[in-house]
Amino acid sequence: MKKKKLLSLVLVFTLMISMVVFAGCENRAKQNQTVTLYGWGGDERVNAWIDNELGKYVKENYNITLKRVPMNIDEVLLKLTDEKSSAKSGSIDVIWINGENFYYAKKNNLLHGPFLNTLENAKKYYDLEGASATTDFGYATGGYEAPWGTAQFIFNYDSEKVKAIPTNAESLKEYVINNPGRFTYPKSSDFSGSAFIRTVLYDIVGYDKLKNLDPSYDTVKKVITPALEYLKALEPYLWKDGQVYPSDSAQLDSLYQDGEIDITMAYTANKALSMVKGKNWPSTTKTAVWEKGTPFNTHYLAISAIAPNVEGALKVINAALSPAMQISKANLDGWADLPSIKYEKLSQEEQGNLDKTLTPAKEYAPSILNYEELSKHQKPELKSDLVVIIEKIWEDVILFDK
Amino acid sequence: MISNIKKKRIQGILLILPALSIIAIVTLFVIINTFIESLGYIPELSFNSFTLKYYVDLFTDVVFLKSLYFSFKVALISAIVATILGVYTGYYVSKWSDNFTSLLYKMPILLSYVAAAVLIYNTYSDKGLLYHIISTLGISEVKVNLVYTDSGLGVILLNIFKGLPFVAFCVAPIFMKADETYSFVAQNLGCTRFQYIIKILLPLAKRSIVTSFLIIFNFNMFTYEGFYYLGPSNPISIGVYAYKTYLSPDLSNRIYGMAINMIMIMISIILCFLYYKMVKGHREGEII
Repeated sequence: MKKKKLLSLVLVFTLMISMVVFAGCENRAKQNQTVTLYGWGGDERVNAWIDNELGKYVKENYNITLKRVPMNIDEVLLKLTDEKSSAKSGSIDVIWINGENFYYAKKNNLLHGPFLNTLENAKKYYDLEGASATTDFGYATGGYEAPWGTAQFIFNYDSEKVKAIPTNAESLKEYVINNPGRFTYPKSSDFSGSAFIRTVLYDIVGYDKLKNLDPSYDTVKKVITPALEYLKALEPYLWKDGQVYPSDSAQLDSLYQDGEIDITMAYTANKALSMVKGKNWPSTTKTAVWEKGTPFNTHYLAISAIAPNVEGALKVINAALSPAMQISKANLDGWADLPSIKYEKLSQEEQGNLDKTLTPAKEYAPSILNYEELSKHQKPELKSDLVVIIEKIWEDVILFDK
Repeated sequence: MISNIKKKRIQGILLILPALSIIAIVTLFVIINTFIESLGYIPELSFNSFTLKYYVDLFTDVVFLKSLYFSFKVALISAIVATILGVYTGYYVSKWSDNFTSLLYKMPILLSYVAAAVLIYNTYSDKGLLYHIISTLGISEVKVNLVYTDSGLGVILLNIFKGLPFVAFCVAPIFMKADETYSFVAQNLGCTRFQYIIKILLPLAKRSIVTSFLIIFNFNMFTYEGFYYLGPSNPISIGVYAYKTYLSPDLSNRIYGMAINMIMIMISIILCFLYYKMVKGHREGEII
């Protein structure tokens, strides 16, 4: 008898749970005023800006609840592929994306679009014929993604310890040999690590020789051999004798913070400012770029091909492109991301606001470079399939000694 | 009329069905799906043909073979050391009666692998606890360099840290029970302590020693966290290699990831087979 009772209890319980689950599904389908934003969640300032500024803005203006889901882009693409193979409607709306990830996502039909030309703010404030709206890492965007912000690769160093910051490959080599164990860079699978390798390539091989290269493993390897030899020669003098490379820029930053290395690097031009302000980095931290330039790129927002809420996603992206959000995103106390909006198309008042947000407080001014200095040393990114091949070659040659 | 026994059986099956279905569906679905994708069939990425090319590629790739060997080496060393030390600890644990000490040795089992990896890092990295202890002792110019080395020492330490208590935990009850039954008899018949351990206790615990060895060996070989956090950049372990391949932005690499997964599954199945043979084997060594 007891068992029977237990059994019926179990059955009733299962029934109840399934009812709740199904009811939940229906609810979601009816309301659906939530928009999910999938993207890198490794920086607290970025997360805070999305939650407190963009989230608040779309709630007030469109009554949309923005749900930020922190996830590395490779995992987002994986999730997208899985969802696309198994369902008509997925769980991802907006994706923060660029470069090779965009290239492969678009190639595999994982994205919705084209939509850029339908956005009100894009038409009003952006140069839709310009480079950042039309090309992403050398390939056409086709209107499948909206330019959200720009970034430039820079070096951060402790000016107390590094008297003359290396600004080319030769002087870096000299520094590394004279200070063994005090420099390293992340693996090529990391965004910053990959950008560092390209910076070296720009210096040793030159951007012009690389930009139209045929994306085949052997051709690329042949052309970049001098740079590979250079990196191989650096290896024994790197942190931990080059036996291990940091797996990402977060690990590199923590080595810098602990004083184990003297130079760190980031694909965020104004990073030093907030790190110095937050007392995470020494106040003597400064920013530098290389003579022949460092890579700069635009990062974008795209929509999943099976987004459950395309309409909401379009509204969110439109909001992200608005002058108010672009200015607030550039705020040096917050995310400090360089805006992608066309300066000339802003009203005089908005231009004034943007100038104000981009000027640092006096005591922190030395830690970053001004926009003029940065833009003088900007080099466009290489084509995304080239980038992937270079990353692979670095792994094979430097990491695995193949 | 269904007989009572049959009824009970059906009831039993119904009751375990929810739990069982999760295990069966997840495992079977994943294995089948992995196998199909590893043969190069992923229609949503426009790969529509079946081929063994990816397996051939892997087994001719030096990096992959190196990583397989590295994982095997690290897993074997750590499993052997953990088993020997674990049996030793288990023997002493079986004699402890107080609750605190018997809880203490189980602590590492409760910790997650990631947390344990952080502990190992904080203790053995070049500016870790060990370094500070040695330098406070007045020995200067020490170089503590145990993690990130290509010998995989950091990972081995982690695996021992987690594996040792597990082995001890598995064998201690057997020692305890055997001791109650045989210790007095053996002494009475003139058996020395050493003979008693070698000839009576160890053969009795043989089965659980070997099975726990197999479990930790299999786990250590394919674990991800230890190698990822404490291992060198080169060579990498097979688990890290699979993950890296799987996450490559070039989605076609996913097939290689799946093929590596399938190889790991095959090795695990072989080890499982050995394990079941051990468990189901002849019932010698039963404690009466």
